[in-house]
Order: sequence, then C-alpha cells, then structure tokens
Amino acid sequence: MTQTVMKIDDLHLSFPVSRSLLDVVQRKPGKSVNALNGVSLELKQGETLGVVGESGCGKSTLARCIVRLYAPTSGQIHFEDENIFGAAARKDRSYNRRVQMMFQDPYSSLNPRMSTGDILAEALRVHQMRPENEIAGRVEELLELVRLPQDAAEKLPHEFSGGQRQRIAIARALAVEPEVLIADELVSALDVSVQAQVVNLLLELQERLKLTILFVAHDLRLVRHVSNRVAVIYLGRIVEIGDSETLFSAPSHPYSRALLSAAPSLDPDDKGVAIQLEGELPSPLNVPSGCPFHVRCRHVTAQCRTVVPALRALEGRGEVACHHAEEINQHA
Amino acid sequence: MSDAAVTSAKTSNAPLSRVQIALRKPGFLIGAVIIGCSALLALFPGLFSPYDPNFIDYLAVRQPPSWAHPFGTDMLGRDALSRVIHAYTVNMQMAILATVFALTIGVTVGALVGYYRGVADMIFGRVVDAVITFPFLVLVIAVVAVLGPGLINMYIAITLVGWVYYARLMRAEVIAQMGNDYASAGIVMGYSDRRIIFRHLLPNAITPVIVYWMTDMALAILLGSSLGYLGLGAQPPQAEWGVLIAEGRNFITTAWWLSLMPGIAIVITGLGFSLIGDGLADLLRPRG
Amino acid sequence: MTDHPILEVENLCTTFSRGGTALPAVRDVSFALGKGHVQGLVGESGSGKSVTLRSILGLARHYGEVSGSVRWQGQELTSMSERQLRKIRGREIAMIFQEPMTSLNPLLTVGTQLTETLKAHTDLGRRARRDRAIEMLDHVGIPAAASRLGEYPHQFSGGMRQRVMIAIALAASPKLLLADEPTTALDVTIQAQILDLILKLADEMSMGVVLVTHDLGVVAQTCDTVSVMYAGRVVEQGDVRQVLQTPRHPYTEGLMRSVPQDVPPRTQLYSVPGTPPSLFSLPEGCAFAPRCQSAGPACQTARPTLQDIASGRQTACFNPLPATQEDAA
Repeated sequence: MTQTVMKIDDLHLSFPVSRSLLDVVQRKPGKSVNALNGVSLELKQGETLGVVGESGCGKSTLARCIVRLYAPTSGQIHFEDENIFGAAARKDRSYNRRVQMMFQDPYSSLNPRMSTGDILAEALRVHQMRPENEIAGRVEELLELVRLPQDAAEKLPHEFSGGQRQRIAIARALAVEPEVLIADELVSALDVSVQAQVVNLLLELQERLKLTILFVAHDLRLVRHVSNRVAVIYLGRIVEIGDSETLFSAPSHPYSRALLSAAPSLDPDDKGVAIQLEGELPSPLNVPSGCPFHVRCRHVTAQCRTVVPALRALEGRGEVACHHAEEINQHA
Repeated sequence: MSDAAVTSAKTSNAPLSRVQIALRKPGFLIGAVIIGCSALLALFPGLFSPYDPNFIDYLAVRQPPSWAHPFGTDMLGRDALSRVIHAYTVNMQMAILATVFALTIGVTVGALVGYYRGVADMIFGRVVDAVITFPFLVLVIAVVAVLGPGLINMYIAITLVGWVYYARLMRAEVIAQMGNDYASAGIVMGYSDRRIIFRHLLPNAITPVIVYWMTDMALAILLGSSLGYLGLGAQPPQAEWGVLIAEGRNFITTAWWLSLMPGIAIVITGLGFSLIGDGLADLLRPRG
Repeated sequence: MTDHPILEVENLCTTFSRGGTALPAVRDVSFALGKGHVQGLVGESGSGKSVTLRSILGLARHYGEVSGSVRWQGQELTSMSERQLRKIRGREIAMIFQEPMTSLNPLLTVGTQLTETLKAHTDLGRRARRDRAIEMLDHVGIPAAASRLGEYPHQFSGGMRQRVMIAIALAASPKLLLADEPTTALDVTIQAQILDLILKLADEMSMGVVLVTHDLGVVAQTCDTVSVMYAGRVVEQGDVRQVLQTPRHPYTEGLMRSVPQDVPPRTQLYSVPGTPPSLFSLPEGCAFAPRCQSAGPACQTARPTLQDIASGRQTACFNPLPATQEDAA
C-alpha cells in the first residue's frame, strides 16, 4: 500500500461546558461535551478518505483538530512522523502551508472586505510562494485553475454565488501548494446542480496535483462518489472504516447500515424499504456506556451495554467496532 | 421569501455608490452640513467672528442682542457671538482629543482580548465591571480632582475612563467575527496573529465602534463643557461653551442670551455628530 | 387520483418589488391536489418553490403581489380578506417550516402552544384541550407526552422540535398540510422518521400535503406527484415515478444526473453548467436556455409553456427529451 502521510492516534477532545452559578453552589461536577472519544486513522498518500456521520458526531471537530484549530485533550496527530502538537511543530508555519482546509459556509469563509485577488495574493505573499513580481500572474493562474473568469480578481466576495465562493476558497487553499486538503462539508451549502460542478473540480484537481483529501460530509452519496476509503463516525468514535465500495455496498456495522438505508433513494420504486432507526442521537454530554450505539441498536446484548467494542478487521470487509458484526452480517 | 432574497443579494444591477445612498437620507446630509460648518468655524474662527473675542468694552456691558452685537455682550462688554464662534475651536478640539486616544487604546485592547481571550480577557472583564459601576461623569471628575483642573488633564481623565467603553464594544464584535470561518481560514493558512487581528478581524469589526465614536464625540463636547462649567475643564478667559454658560449664569434673569446661545451651539453640534453616526452605520456595512 | 381536488392552484403569479424593479418570483404555477395526496414542489434556491407555498396561504401578500387563483374546497383564497383567511389557516390548512426553533415561541411551553392552537380552532373545553394535546404529542411519537407538556422548545432536540411543530400544525385536524423543507435541518436518520410520520398522518387523516424540498430523494420517497420548478416557473410536472424515471425536461434530467447515484465512483459527474439566473435579469426566452444543451434558436427568443405530453404529465420545453420508456399511465 502507499505511504502514510498522516497518522491520527487515539484522539480525544472534550469541551468543558460552562457551569451556572447554581451548579457551582450545589457543587455539581463540571460537565463536558465529549466530541472525540478515541479516533485513530491513517491518511494515505493520494487517497480520498471520506468521513461521514450525523451532526454532532465529531466529524467537523476532527477536521478542525487536524488543522490545529482545536488542540486535542489527549492523543496525537503525526504528519510525516512529526507530532503536529509538539512544541517544535507548533512554531513551524510550514505545516499550515502543507495541510489546508476548506469550510462549509461559503458566505463566512471569505473576508467580506477583501477582493478575490487580494485574498489569493495574501496567501502567496505570507508563504513566499512567488517573488513579488510574479504574484499577479499566479493569481490569474489560480483563477483559471478553479475556472473563475479573470475579472473575478477585482471583485468582492458578495458579488459571487455560493458555488463561485467555494471555488475561491479552493483557490486560496491551493495557492500555497498544499499536499493535504481537508474539505469540511465543502458542497453541503450548495444547490445540487452546482454541487456536481464543485465535486468535479475537486476530483480533477486531486488527479492533477496529487492531493490527499479528507472529505468530511453528511451526504453519503457524495462521500461514496469521491472517496477511496470511508470512515463512519458515531458519537466521536469510528464505528466502521474501510474501502468505500465495500462499505457502501455491504455495510457491516448496524449504524452504517441504518445510515445508508436512511438516505432517500432517487428511485420512487424503493419507497418503504428503508430501515427505520429508532430514537435520536444521544447527547454528547453523556455518551452511553459500552457501545455508544447500543441505545438505538436492534441487536443489543448485555455485553454491548458495558464493553466498548474495539475496531477490528472483518474478513472481506473493513474494520468494524461491533461485538456482533459476524452474526449480524450472517443474517443479513 | 428566502429564495428571492438570495437571488437579489447576488446581483447589484443598480450600482449606486454607498455615498450616494447615504446622502439620500436627509439625516445624514443635515449632519454632514452641520459638522462641515462647525469644522470651518473651528479652523477659521477669525474669518467669521465680527470682533476680537477678548476685546473688553466697559461702555457696552451686558447689552441685549442688536444688529451690532447679534448675541449681545457679556459682563465685560465682550461680543457674545465672537466668543461663541471662537469657542468652536476648543469645543471641536474636545470632540477629537477627548475621544481619539480612547478610541485607539480601546480598539487595540478590545481586539486583543477578544482574539486571545484567556486570563487577559477575565482581567479585562473585571476592569469593565469596575468602571461601568460608576457613572461616567463621576469617574472623570474624580480623576480630574486628582490631576488638577485644565484642558490637558481633562483629556487624560476622559481617555482613562472612556477607552473601556470602546474596548468592550470592540471585544464583543471581534468575538462575533471570530465565529466566521474567514478567521479560522486565516489561522489554518498560517497567518500571523497580528495579520488576522488587524487585517482581517479589525476592518470587519470596527463599524459599530465608529458609529459609537460619532455619538461619543457629541458626548465629549457635552462632558467637556460640563467640566468647563464646573471650573474643571477650560479656564476663563478662554472662550469655551461651558465656561460661557457659567459666566452667564449669574445674569440668567437679566441677560439670559449669554447662557442660551452657547447652549444652542452645543445642542446643534451634538445633533450633527449623532446624525452622521446614524448614516455611517449604513455606509460602512459590508455588502453581501 | 385527483377526481375531487381539494386544492386547485391555477396560474399563480407572485411578484416582488425590489428598489422599483418588479421581480417575477412565481409565474403561472398550476396544480391540483386530492385528499390524502402528496404533491412535491422541487427546485433549487431561487426557483420560487417556497414562495409558491406561501402564496397559497396568503402569506406572500405581505411582501408581494399575488394573482391567479387558489381554490380551496371551492372557495377562492386569493380574494379572501385577512380575517376570512385566518379562519382557514391552522384549522383547515396548516403549515410547517424548515427551522422549528424559529417557528416555536421560545418563551411558552410546548403545552401552552398546543392548547392555544386548539383554543383558537376548536370548541374543546380546558380539560379536553389538555387531553387532546397529550394525544397529539403521543401521536407524533414524543415519548412521555404528558410530562413534556410543561417543557420549553429549547429542551427538545431538533427532531423532537419538528415533531412538536407537526403536532401543533395538525392539532385542529386540518385537511391540507403545507410543508416547507420540513427535514432540511435534520440528520438523515431523523429525516426518515419525520417523513415517515408525515406520510402516516396524511394517510390516517386523509390529509393532502404539499411538500417543498430541494432533495430529489425526498421527493422520490414521499410524493405522489411532483412539480419541478426553475426560475419561478414549473418546467415539468406529473406522476413522481414518471418524472423522475424518465424526465422529459433537460433541467429535470440535469438535476437527476447531478446526484451521484449509480455512477462509477470518482468519475466526473454530469453537471449542469452555469448557475440559475437572477430574477433581476431573466433571459428573454426559456430561462433554462443558457444552461441547456438541447436549446435551439427558438429557445432564446420564445418562452415555452407547459404542454400536456401524456396523461397527467406536462413539460415546458420546445425540445423535450425523448420518452425512453413507454410512459402511458
């Protein structure tokens, strides 16, 4: 297999919830939101790793940890064998150049007071990507790369549509010639017909520039389309990870199955075949004991309520965190 | 509704400049005219005042308004109109000098604590609590009492107290702007904190501060003349509206115009700043 | 299916004015809806689907001009006074919105909001209203309904809030439900539950539903008939199976093919070039012509109208795609 560029090891992150005065007086213990509960994964050179899950599952938190917007409570992220949260690495700006992120909301991710040209030129200047006299030319190249007209350089973000703004965000990320792109719900805010354009652009650029991509999204069809491998996250834990086609055609974890089944099919003849998942996502304030999915799972046993299942390889499948994966898949 | 709003936001088929839009509002226009005239009077009082403001004429003491002396004369026979006009210089100077340092310090401190939060922010929070517990005027008078009366000390006192209000506003706005992903994008791009704070956050966060600044200039004039009236600010014989009102106070029943005219000048100038502040809010708001 | 339509919308037009310019937000929308029937309105942002829904209930009047006809059980809604409309809203026609948090009053308990609706639209007494409120919450699948009556909207999760909205909307047993992107803010597993609930209730109460969405999957799984909207006009409508399986309008086809389903992974997706036009500057001919691959010279100058192409099936296109299957209904 190809080289591992990034290794994430047992990442935990909890945000303390501010206590009210009443809680302090009553000496209630401080609560915290457990956004990540031990995420481990490897990102391989040139691949697209899809990360799916419902809102609040921790997938965006994971993305933000990778680009050091959040520091984990425990666990490590190694980029080419260097701990990115180590003292030496934190001072090093080159990591911020080599690993770039694109955000969900095209209306807030660009400074409303800077023109497209200024936004791109700033990135080029700060990282000294080009000598001063070549910057204007490089801005033109970047606009062409993401298929924006040349007059876009003078315009302010509000003059563009959502899809065009995401192209600007992509151009900004690419300006510093990164190796890894983190795409956090890159196309979720866009209309379907525009989504396809942006996804196509991303796939094409990946091919051309040999990029490694972490594609975080809640739209399963999109993730399936762009990813080589996929990780399914539930309440801050990976419940299943593996080859995209295998996972989508034969999901092994009961949650992955329910999630896939819940995505409405485009074929009216599939009406009523979806597996209905009972209940709602538990609050990350108090994650259930044992398997985090046990409260919604139809196959729950006593073991699931107490023992956290570890990710383990399943023959002919990827890795699954379920005590009963074999039996469940046999019956399926 | 939302559908149509999205579409209309995308296009700007009638590209009116912001200034044109702002000038359409009568309030802003009136404010601009008032402040423009006030600035002219402040810069060139000699061009507009009919007499030397300090020329004493014991033969024409406390005369009522007339063609020769439109605002009358004071107890020393000085022309009241000339004194009100010459006061523009010091009162407009108050509007600037009493606020501009507070503005600069407040914006910087507010942006820094809003961006870094942490311990500095907690300390700042206590400072704010301590300062806003007391009425503004009471605090300023206390500081002037320590430093001694006079214009310079008054500016120092107002700055010492006033920056807190700017910083508080700036901090809140920077925190709100931090919620936008362009700030996160700056961090991810590896930009320096200084660049993110001053080049990205500050221009987007400063609008409410600028608007507040306009009202604060009006308040500064009011405060400055109050201190002048109390004898803690500008000192006689300097022509300053608060001083003029104080001088006329003893003759309020016989020569009421001496106190009324500088009072009207304060009201009109203050109104001018407020009207401009209103218009600026629209002018500075980013589009999209 | 629409033998006795309860709702008939005919040539509905809604015009907004922005800075002196008239914006044609909705143009010539017509459809009919029978009892227990689910009609979808699908389109991208700016297509006019939400405005159409709001125009039906007279909500668009406040910010735009509405013409055409909306007949509700024989009564004309567009010419009704605000007072007459109020009697119909909530009692006969209910509406739910995308964001349940903003459409619930955060300061009132869920129980109060439910019983207020009942008070306004039914003759039930105090006790009966409370019982009915509990029954409704129970009906929409909120566990421990009686104990949750005293809770405030913020104490409910997103999915539960949408259930509360539905309970309030359906409290007075309306005959028609207008649903504006009711599941867009929810996760897929919750979306499936809510759509299922809406369908189940529509069936039980033989209530008609007009569902606005941008998600073709939602349309496929819930609607009986669908109207595809683009730039304020219906470009194609008919039976959901026919429209989605054999689209005849190039835009419908483009939308369907933009969704990565049954395409080889990591290949270029079919995409409709360009972006939807602004209502400020609609093309002279067909609004879709600048993005359309089958556009001919006629499309640039003349605007195609909705034409019957099969029974119950209409499309507005000069060069409709060939019917690949026999779509005789």
